[in-house]
Amino acid sequence: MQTKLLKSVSILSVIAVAVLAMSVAIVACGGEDPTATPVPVQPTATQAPAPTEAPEPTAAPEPTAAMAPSSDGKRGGSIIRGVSVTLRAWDYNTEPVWFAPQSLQRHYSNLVRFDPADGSTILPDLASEWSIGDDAKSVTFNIRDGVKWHDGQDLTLEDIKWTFERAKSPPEGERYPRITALLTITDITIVDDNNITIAYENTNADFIQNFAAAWGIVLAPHVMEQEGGMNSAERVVGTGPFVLDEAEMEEFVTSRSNPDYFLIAPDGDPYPYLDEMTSVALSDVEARIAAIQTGRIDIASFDPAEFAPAVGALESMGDAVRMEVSPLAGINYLSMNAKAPPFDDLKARRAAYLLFDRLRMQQLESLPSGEFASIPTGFFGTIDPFVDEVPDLWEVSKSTRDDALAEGKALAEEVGLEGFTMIVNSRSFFQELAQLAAQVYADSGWEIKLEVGDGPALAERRENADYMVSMSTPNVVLPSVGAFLFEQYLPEGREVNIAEPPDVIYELLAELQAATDPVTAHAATREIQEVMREDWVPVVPMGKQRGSVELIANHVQDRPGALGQWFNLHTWTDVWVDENSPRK
Amino acid sequence: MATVETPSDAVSPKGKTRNRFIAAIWRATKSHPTGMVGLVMLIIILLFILSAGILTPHKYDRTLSTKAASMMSRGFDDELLILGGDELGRDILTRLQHAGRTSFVIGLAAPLLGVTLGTIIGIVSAYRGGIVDLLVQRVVDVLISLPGLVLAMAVTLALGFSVWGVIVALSLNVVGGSSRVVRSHALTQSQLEYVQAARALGASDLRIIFRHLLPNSMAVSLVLFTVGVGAAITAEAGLSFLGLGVQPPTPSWGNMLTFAQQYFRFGPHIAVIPGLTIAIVVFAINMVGDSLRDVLDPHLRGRG
Amino acid sequence: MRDYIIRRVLLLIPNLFILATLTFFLARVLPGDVALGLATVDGNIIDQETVQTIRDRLGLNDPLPVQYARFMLQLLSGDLGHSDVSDQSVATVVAHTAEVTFLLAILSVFIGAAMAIPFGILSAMMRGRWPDQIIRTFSAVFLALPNFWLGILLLLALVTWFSWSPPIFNETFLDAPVAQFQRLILPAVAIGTSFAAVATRLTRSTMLEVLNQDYIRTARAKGLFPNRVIIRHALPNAVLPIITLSALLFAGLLNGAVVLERIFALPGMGVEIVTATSERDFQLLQGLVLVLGAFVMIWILLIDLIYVAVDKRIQLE
Repeated sequence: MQTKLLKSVSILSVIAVAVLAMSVAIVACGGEDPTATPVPVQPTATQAPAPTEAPEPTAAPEPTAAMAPSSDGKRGGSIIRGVSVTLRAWDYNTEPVWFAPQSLQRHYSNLVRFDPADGSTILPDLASEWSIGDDAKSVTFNIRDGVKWHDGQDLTLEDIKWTFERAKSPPEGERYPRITALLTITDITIVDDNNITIAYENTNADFIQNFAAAWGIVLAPHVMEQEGGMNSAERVVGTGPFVLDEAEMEEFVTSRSNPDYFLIAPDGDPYPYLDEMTSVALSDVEARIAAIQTGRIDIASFDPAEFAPAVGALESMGDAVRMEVSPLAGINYLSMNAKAPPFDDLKARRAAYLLFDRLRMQQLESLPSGEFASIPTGFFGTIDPFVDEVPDLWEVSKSTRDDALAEGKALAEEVGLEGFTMIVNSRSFFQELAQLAAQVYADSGWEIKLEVGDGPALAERRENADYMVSMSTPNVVLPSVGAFLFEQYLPEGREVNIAEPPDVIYELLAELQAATDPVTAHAATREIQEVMREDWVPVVPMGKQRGSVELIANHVQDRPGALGQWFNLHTWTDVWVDENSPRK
Repeated sequence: MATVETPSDAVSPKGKTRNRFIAAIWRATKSHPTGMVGLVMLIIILLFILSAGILTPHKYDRTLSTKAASMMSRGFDDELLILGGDELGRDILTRLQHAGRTSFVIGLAAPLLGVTLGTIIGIVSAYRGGIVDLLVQRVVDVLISLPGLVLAMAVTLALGFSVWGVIVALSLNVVGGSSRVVRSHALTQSQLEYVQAARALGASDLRIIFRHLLPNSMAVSLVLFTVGVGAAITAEAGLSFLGLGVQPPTPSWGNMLTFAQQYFRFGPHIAVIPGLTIAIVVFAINMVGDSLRDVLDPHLRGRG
Repeated sequence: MRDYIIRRVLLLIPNLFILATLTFFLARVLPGDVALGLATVDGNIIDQETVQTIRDRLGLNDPLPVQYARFMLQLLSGDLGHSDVSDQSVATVVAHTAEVTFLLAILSVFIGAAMAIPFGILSAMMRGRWPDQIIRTFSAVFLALPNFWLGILLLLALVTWFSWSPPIFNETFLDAPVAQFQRLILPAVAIGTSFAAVATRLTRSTMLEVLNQDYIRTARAKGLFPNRVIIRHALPNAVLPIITLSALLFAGLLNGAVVLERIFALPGMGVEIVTATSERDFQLLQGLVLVLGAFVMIWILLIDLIYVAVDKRIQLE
């Protein structure tokens, strides 16, 4: 009898196991899903088109009337790109984080834009030509004719004026957080049917970069002034190569190609090549890697904080993907609160600067594979024109390192400093860096205590100037030293509670921005860095930030140089998929 | 072990009860081989943790090698890393030991605090009844219906990420449930004749609570506590995963596991070792707790 | 019975009041506020003026009692408020995220129960022998695994061995049941195993009690084994406690959801709560916690009522 009961019990177990097995089966078969096949390891990439002449910087190619369909299979297909986080607001100008442009910039145009190939050359966009005023206090843009918003209305100069009036005097409680320099715009004048002049406060030949930045997009007033403002995805209306098709906040943004887009490729093909482009949020790194490994996405994008897992994934996936590192990242540094002792004293700051061994930091930061070690840097990270000279600096170089340490120790003794407490963000990336920095200081005889908080908690402490040192990892938006200096280190800039610069810095900055030839500019930059190291020491540079990483499936093709570096800058016009794509 | 000391301290006025208690536990453990295995495992783990600083010559917070160095590898200055290096190249073995201290402190303190609070609330609520009971139970209702992690997130952030912050946060997980259980147990007790008799004899409320109700709720509380220990260690890991657990440089098994995730692909050992450690420890604790429950649970008493 | 139901339902009112008060203060104990999150770049404040404007706009500069009164009045008028960050109404966010979270919780319960009932009964039947020991060991092990770790391991295993990962786009269950099931199954297994561990023990002890009832003992002593009686008593006796347990552990299941939704990019309430907490989006945080708490309360109440009803019938039989 008992066996009978046992039997029924075991039948129940069998049912349970069967239910689970069925689940696994459903999961494993994946229904009709064609993407269940792994990413094909592709022997040879389709021959990329021969590099064409880059367009003249001030003249865009005229759209040709006959847009013959391309014969090399570029047209059509779609790409899904997995990103760490998608946006939190449809008006991405109010979002300071990089993932906002990642998902939305492709719908908009700028007046001018950066060449994705080098990250600094200015290319035409809405403006086909431009000229910088003689005093370098204004730019005049010549806007091309016949550009249409995605909803069919014509782009007018009034729209452009409205956009930058808004940046100049933003609505209450709003800012373009990434390009605060636009606040210094003084006047916007519509000159004639095609020309608009924007004037600004200070002499600055680099000011035009603000209009090329990812946040300097031109907005559609007729949409944004509607009741409720930018409260839904339908309000994302631009003039860019893609039209927003469907989107869910924090989940995904799907766009289709804009048939009326005004730019065409150098070889005469109409932009964009893709039919569809989707960004999808996969916040967990492992989930994102799994998705590209199984072909659910074509490109996985990793922020600089996720550099290590991205490299790890590349190693475990072999030839199925390629990796691109965008240098558009910046610098990790320790910023010292100069509003309170001890770092209101230049000697204390200089001691902290000298006691930090940047080569040791590099050693500690190296990845298991030994590659991709971070590079010792000056104050300007990636855009530092002298970054290659940093390892030879007196305080960095192996041969003179001990002298620098000794001087640092002497200074520390003079001000009676044996260490400090440092506030650090609770995200694992920052904690790793902070712990390594603490270790570097420990080797020099200083004891560092870490105090952890999340974003708002730390912001509150910065607001109250209630800390000694904090760690920053700013991302650089504009590729000029002057802009970086202004944006980050000067009191008007973003880094709060930082030491006041000596007056000579302002003179040098003016000299730099008025410079018309590279030699003068270089000399001024060199002098600025000299002063920063000796007489100012606003921060302690730790190392060049590792860039953001893209893992790209082999079926994704791009015009040479267009998809490579400065990944965050391009608007996906030059990208297509070959026949092997599951989404062709 | 704390699991044994807690109740015996509380019962110490009655020396005999204490001896009987320990004897009962001993007999029970003997008759419960799994519990015995768990106990032995626990003792080994405790010895492992207590030998921190003796077993390896390394410091737990010093980077010795490249990130995620493999097992039995050598560091920058030729140090031997038996279990390899973690995400910052620190010795995993040394860190496991130091992390064990943190995790055990949390694992013991959080349920101790939570169950103690829960027991007091439960007994008072049951004994006083009426409006007090009604109000207290409403708060308990709310505590039970909220996911503990949500409460814990707010509390750790407010208390600034210290180990004590985590302990308080995780103890809140336990208060609601344990006070419910203790209350229902105490309710049956306070109906019993001896309590009624004591009350009739004019014994003070405090006396009745401390002499009668509290000792009689001890078995229930002890069971709740043993369940809570493992849960707290696992919950700390969950909190760490959200970036809200114990913060470096203080190691805990939970934050070791969390920080290791990023380097999983360079060397699985750095994530697997702390994960397995948590699993083994919580397993051992549950085995012991299970057997204790078999012995102490009034419903199953005498059938073990 | 009717009085009991009325009493329990009426008690919901003070409960909800306390819940609302608790969520309000839960949000305010957090250090910093949403203005500091909105007006910062890379952790640095853009400018103090903007911070103050945002605080004024959201009423964060008012004294706490004023803010509390405003919150309560707003709730009384049936409005859960608007997110401080995205300006979406909290009700919209709840409507969008609730499905995933509750489906995940329910699926976890089902998976847990599907494992727990047979193994629990088997364990009780074979008490003290090796199947019992094995089952008890495994349930202890599963209870011990941190569920986020289990989730990541499951994901890695499927990717490595089957080149499969869950679909990445969220859809409603009715539109795409298969895809949505594929999205939910891994996190549900990760949560469900720990539920199964508890439920197995519960089933085992319940069954032990049933097997020890006098009439069954008598029947056994006579050498009879009343199979039908046992099955008839065993199953309801095993299922009912698990239903109760699911109510008691529902909040606990949601703990798992908070973590696993994040890993598997499921747009659920747990992810929203974590985001709202880290952004200090007080309105959204209050609203979400309130809804979640109220739901669990009502769920517990319903299960209690069902249990009382069913239990009576069983006793009557």
